[in-house]
Amino acid sequence: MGNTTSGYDESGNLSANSYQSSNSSRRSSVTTENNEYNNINKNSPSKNNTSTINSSTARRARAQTLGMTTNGSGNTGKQRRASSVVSSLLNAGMKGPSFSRSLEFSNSNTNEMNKRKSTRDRQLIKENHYKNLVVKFDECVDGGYLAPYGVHDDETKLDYDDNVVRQLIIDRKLQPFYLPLEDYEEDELSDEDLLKILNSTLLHQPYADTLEKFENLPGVNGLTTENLNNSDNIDNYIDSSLSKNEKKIQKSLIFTSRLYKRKNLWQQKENERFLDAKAGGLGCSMVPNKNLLLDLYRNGDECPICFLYYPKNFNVSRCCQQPICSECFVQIKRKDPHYKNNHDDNNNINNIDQSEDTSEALVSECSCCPYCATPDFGVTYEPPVMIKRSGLNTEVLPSNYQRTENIYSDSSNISKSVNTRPRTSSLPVNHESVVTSDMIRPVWETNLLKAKLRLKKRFAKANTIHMNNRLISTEEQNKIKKLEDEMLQKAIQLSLSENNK
Amino acid sequence: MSILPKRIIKETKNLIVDPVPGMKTEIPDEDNLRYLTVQMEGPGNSPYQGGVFQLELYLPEEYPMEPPKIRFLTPVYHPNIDKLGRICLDVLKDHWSPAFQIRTVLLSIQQLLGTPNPDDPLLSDIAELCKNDNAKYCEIAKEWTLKYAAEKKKE
Repeated sequence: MGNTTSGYDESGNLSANSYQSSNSSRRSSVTTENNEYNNINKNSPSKNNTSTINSSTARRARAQTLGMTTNGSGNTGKQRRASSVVSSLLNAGMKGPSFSRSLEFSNSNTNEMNKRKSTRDRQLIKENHYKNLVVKFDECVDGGYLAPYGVHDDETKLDYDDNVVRQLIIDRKLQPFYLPLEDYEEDELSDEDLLKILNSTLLHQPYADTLEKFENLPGVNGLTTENLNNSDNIDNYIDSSLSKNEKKIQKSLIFTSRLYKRKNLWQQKENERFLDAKAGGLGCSMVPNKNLLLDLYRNGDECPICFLYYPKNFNVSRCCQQPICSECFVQIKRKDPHYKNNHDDNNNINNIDQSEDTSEALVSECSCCPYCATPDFGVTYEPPVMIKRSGLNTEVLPSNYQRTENIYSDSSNISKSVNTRPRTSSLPVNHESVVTSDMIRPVWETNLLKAKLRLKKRFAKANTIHMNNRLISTEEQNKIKKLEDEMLQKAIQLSLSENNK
Repeated sequence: MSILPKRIIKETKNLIVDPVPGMKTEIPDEDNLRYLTVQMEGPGNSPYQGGVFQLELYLPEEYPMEPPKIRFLTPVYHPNIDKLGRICLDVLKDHWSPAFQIRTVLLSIQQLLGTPNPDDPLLSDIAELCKNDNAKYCEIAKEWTLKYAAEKKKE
């Protein structure tokens, strides 16, 4: 059974001893990924600069011809005004990179190739992200796991950096994802009953077959696993009557939907492996034993946000020292880029007035503590004392865990002895033990920049259309002329009437 | 359809078993536990006193990470409640926190009825009246309460 996972993930075949090395290699693979990403970022601006120049010269030429035709009658004042408008527009265009234009103008094959490659890279990154969200029983840290149980349901929204979170859990800087208990009355439950409940809990919440947003999507249902794995065949399923942009959206939807389905299958396999190991099969040394489970869950407590029961070693907010489970912690994030003091619900980025470049006004406010609203939400985590640790990064296998005496009566003493300082006051956001929301979502800054660029681009586009209309429209010209004539007449009338006085 | 989170089950059960004073929560459709209706008594010492206001409450998929969606079904004359019953309240928008509950939100709404916030209005004309001619505002609000909110009580 242990080999069943080899098809999709290398870590499925790892023995407990090789965790260290697998972790370090995982980390190094992250850094190379990041480097690649940075390189892509570094390359793109220069590419765009050259093409914006190309496009701007082309635009200038076109604007000049337009100026000639509309002002052919020889109205120099108007011509000057028009060209100054055009040049200011061009300046704006130079400042804000206009991606779509640059793509139009530099329609070279290499560009296309790069684009396609980066799509595949993005898909691969996403796929790895989903793989890391699969809960694996043999990635056990102090009786918990490296991926969430799925309390908050929608997997497609778990957009935190999985590599960062996994490492933080292994380093004991964040509470591992423990399997939650739904109801727990400490006094009413015997040890046997508690263990029975825990043993019947699988690694992940049962999946909804399909999410509402994926319903009726072609190219997903009824496919073999092999077909699902192959993202090249997605094109065959896309509705050919759609526009280019719609096709792109559908393609990405199908990809995500398939990934969701695949993750579901991966998790099912992990569950099977888990059951197998529990029955004494491969990897049974990584299954938490009775002692460990009782030590953990006999001291359980409720998370104030999801209302589920977890072992007591919660993450604690850095500001007001309130508990929060990791499942809820990874849900808390910055708001998407938006305008400050945005009152109207409909007034989001997508339907604003485009007559003004407002991209600089976009903000992405930091997440606040859910309990006391202190900005820059962060938590600290106090792991179990050394002798009580097990799983990754320790000598103790979860199956060999020994119960230490006096755990209940002396637990306060034990925790005091490891505590370097009592937590009575809040910790600053940059304290070494604090894990912030931004740390597990480092891309927020890039996302904000991207949103700003998108808006700038749209503004530039809207402005071009607006200006073009203004230059071409003869009706407008006639209106201005009429207005000027009227003003002239009024002036003459006024001077006449003054003369009469 | 996704699985209903434990928190929603616990919260709604709690609201029915141990209701907020002056409020009655119901689940009109047992198949959709995310949709609730609330009957809220107008707060004392306010033009809404004596009225019983109907609200509907929907817990979106992202709840509790996103706030519940609430609106008045009964027409209310109030600077922060519009014709469609939508409510302008910070905790229902930017200041939502997953540590809040349906209970806290309902209490905030009841409080908003008693202490309108004309400086951050949804309806500027009512806000103006509320600030400049409070007696007149109270009079109209009372009228509306009698006209719309009292009838509901009889039913």
